[in-house]
Amino acid sequence: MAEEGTATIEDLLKPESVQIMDGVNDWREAIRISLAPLERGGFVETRYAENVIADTLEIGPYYVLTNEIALIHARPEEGALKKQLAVTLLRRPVSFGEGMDSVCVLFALSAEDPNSHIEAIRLLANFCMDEEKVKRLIACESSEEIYRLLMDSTCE
Amino acid sequence: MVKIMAVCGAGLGSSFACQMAVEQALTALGVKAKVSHTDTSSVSALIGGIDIVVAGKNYQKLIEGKNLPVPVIFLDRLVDKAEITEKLTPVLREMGEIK
Repeated sequence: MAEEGTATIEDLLKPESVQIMDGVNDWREAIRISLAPLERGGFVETRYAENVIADTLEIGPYYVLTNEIALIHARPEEGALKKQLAVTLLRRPVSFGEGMDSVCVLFALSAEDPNSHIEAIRLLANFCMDEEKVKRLIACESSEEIYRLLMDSTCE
Repeated sequence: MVKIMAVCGAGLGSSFACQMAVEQALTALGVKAKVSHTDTSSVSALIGGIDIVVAGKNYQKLIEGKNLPVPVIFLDRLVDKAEITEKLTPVLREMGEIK
């Protein structure tokens, strides 16, 4: 699989798309908040978040990567405009259901197709599987710190 | 060499994240394998030569409806190597890929 030439995390993430929140009321709010930077930037339509919620009601949360991390996304035709990534750290974890009640890192992703950002997926997956890096992200005290951590970890 | 396919539904490549976790889990198990990824709408067409399918459990109903001729493992967390290892091990053992 040739990942070179596809979008990386650096290509897809702006510093202003990283946010830290105290907590959210429920998983729906988590989804909307995680996608808010993408909506503000014109990378997704408002219906994208509503589609993630509708799809979740239909088949359950399909985007939980690890105990702490979810990759919030929907199909391209559900309101994605341009590929982009946002990151939200929740100080208080949110529950997406039984056995998924410790989610505190929300990566939000929009893309026009499954392939042009596959390098970013590779970098994200590697990050998520590195327990030390995930612990460090959760301990970050500012969004700038989170942004630096992701840039340093994923620029290989 | 065992061939495994990771499957997700959203067409955004999250199945590739799962593929990577499966690859790493298999390396740790010492199993030689070729891992690929696709989405739920393509899995039936691409099942030829595949030995095991790994999918998010949210697609269980959808995938079971496809009656794939191979074992399918359903995951709660797509990039959880511990869960992947736990669920793949009995299937690989039965196939003689590990003792």
